Amino acid sequence: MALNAMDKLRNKAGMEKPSDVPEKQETKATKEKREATNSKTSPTTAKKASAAKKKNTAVSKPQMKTNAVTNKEKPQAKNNGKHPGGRPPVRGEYKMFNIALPLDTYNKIKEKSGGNMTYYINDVQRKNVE
Amino acid sequence: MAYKIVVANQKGGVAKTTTSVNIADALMYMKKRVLLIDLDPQCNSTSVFLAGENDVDKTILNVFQKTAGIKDCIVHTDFGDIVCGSRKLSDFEDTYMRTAGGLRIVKNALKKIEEEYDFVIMDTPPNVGAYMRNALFAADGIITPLQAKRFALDGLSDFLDTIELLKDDGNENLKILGVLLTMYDQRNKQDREVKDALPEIGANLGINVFKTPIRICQDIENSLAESKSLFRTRATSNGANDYADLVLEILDQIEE
Repeated sequence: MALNAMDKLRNKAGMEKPSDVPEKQETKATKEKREATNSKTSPTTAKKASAAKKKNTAVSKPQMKTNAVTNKEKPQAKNNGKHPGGRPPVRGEYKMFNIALPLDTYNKIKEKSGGNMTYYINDVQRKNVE
Repeated sequence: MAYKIVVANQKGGVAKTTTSVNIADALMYMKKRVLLIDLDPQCNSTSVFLAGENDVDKTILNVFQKTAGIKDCIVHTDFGDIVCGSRKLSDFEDTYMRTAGGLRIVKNALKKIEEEYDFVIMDTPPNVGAYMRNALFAADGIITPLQAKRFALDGLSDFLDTIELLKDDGNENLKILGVLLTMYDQRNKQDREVKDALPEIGANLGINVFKTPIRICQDIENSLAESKSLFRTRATSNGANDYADLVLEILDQIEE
């Protein structure tokens, strides 16, 4: 079971798990909603339950509908596996971020890389550098 | 001795208060002694801690005006200990920028209480004025929240340069604990691209980027609005888990 936030913090702090802490805290709204949902029964189910009680038989669950299509083939990719749109990414020589960095950040990265700029930010800046 | 963390970014709306409050909350959950100082005239951290009550005798402004010591300004609330902010802070910001020693008021004040707490978290306003500078001069570590949005990256480089200048000017031990991605929506393509690019940008700028992004999460907003601890009321939420992971990363950074 994945650790929740309390467990992570307790583990780091070396704390024992208190016995009176419930696993899951509920807000008041969530609790009220849960209780309201649990108390609701549909008229059909209530009628069946009442009839079953009289006859002393179990109420059967409604049948689940199954998917009639069993061996459906996966649809063919329209583009036959090629890049869906635009120019495919070019690998090797440079990387391209798809976000446009602000120019000052771009320039700082360029400065810190000693001029061997292999990071290009977008097509426009790439053209300028080339 | 208290480890002092400032949560700062000159850009507004990047979750500085949310981050300050939840880091403080997580540390308090781990039984650490934590004090939060609200240096923002918007007083959002104060609103959370006081649960809407405004009746506070003394605030951080009293510390700046030297009309009270910092110990007298600490309010013990159900949420935790806080030195409340004041909306009048903005009226006096220029004064402290120009006054000799005006940028070291918080640093000097914290010397009087640093043995009483394990952590001091400072929430700052969205501008590099007297109050953020006070926090930067007083702090041991800085966390810079950043939204996963295009315009949030604007000015990051300048802000980091400002931090370097302030370090040289009087706090050479200030450590940039990291840049924190906030309000991250993995359904949004731009958010994903910023998240993917940020570690590499951080490496080129020579700064740490926290591995944990804080995902957009309504439970975070709800717990703040209710002035309740995210960890005690919504521990299984994405927000609680993300802030828990963040605090674990912060503690690892501090221990390095």
